[in-house]
Amino acid sequence: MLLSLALAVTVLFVVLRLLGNPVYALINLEATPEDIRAASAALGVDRPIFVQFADYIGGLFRGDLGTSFSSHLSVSDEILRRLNVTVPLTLISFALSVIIAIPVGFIAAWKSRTWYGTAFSAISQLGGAIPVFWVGILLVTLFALNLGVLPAGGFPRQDWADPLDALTSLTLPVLTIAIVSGSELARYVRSATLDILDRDYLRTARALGQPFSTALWRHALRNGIVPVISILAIQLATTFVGAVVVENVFALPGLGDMLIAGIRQQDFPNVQGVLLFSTVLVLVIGFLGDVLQRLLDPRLRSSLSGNRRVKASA
Amino acid sequence: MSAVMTQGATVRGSRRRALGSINLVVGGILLGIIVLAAIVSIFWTPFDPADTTGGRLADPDGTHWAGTDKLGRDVFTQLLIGARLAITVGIGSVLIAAVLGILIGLLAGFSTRWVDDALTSLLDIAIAFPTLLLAMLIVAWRGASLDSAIIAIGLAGSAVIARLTRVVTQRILAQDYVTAARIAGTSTLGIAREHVLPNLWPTLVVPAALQFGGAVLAEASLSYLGLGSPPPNASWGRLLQEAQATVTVAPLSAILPGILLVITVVGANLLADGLREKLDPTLRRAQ
Repeated sequence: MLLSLALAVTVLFVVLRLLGNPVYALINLEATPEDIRAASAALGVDRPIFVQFADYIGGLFRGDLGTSFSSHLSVSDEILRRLNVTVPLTLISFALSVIIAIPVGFIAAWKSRTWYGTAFSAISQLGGAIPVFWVGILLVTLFALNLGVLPAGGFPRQDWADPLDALTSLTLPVLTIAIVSGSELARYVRSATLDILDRDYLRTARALGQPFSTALWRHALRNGIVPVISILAIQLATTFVGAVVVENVFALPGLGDMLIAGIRQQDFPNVQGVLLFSTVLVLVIGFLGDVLQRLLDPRLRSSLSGNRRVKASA
Repeated sequence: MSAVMTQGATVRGSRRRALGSINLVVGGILLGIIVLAAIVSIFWTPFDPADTTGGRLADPDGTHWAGTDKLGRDVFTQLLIGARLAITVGIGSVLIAAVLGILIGLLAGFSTRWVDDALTSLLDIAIAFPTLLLAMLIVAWRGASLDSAIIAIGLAGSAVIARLTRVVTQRILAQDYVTAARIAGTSTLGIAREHVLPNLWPTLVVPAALQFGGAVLAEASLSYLGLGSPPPNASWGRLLQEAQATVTVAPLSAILPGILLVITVVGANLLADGLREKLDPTLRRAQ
């Protein structure tokens, strides 16, 4: 975990240095060589690359991600401020998508011969095929522009001072992400359930006279939940990326907005800060998923987790 | 395994194979429609994509089958060109992912334990890293264009291909016939070419088909965010972004590109599912 973090941090540094000299984003067309030198000195990019790297790592440990080129605010402060939007958006959407996915996926597998089972299967097949921003556009058109019941976008200026106001503006974005990630997750739940319903231990438990619900609860859930957890961890990361896109549909001032604006304005410290933060977040989520899996499944404690992951992706 | 169970597995197997053919056919038809549109767009479009003489936001009629956009450009023309871009993105990024992924995977599979471990842990990070974030990084570096998007998405996909290639390579290298070939004096490159590469195909074709759909979606997201290819040769994602502002006046422009995207991706996913059912060796054994 620490090794992956160190690797990711280094790779990001190298890649972002390859992105071209950030000085050119700061100066104008008529800049003289002196101007360029002055700007380089101000940014510290005229120093040897190893000194810059040491400086960057030192900054990371202090939680210092530099200063934005365009707003001249501290990047880490800006990220923290924007988490006020992105974190609730991600977590509420994720919770809702799990609430949607588990019954939909389970019924799609269990009642696969009924019409609603088939319908749920079809819905879950659409998951991962619908662009999240398109769902956003459709929901805005329906609920905001035609029915006028919810705001089309934006976030209250006073942040969470009025929680109801803030929640109202998050309703459509949350629905958008939850529909898409929920149907995607339902696909995994469906195949996990199908897999379990075929297993011998379930048949044995039923043969021993256990009612179906008891067998399911005692044996199937404990066995079935393990692969689902690693999917949940991946899905949480996907939801976060979904939030990055959806923030742009609804003009929400979150991390995604900061990232896209940063790319457009070539504001390298902002881009680097957000990407770094997201990378660390994704890695930490994955790590926690692994830990949780090991806690729940004694068989995994001794074996390598790497083999399982290959199977899952194959 | 008892006789009853084997029989059960066979029945289930044949049902799944039948399902696989349905998936293949439906997926093939859906994707075929888009490919056809893409090919047609190379030779013919009703209007020039930059032609703005159609009048602004016109409703669909005999001349403009899907109406016009806010600059007076024909929407149907743009949809056709969007199909070409989607297919280009899909094929281009899958090719990049395959070539790069197979090379890295072979390298990891053939090399010493140490190099293999290092490559594998790098690949793990790359797989965990969301495609879209990687794509944004590359767009920030190279600027927004179709090439940037294809390269970025291809790079992101190569990690999964590399991981699978490595596993298959190691499995094949452990076979007796490879040892025999080695003793007979076949070089490492010869073994890779004659024994490993031909055996990769069944494992890689399903993830490649899945990546095709994923690539089209990822490019649409990039374009929607203004980080894809610029108009007039705009992808469906960009069309949706432009249509969002005028959705109350011209709802069709905000619906059609989305439907086409879904058709493309569902088509590719169904094709992948169908191929999986056909190629799954555990099912073939039950036959």
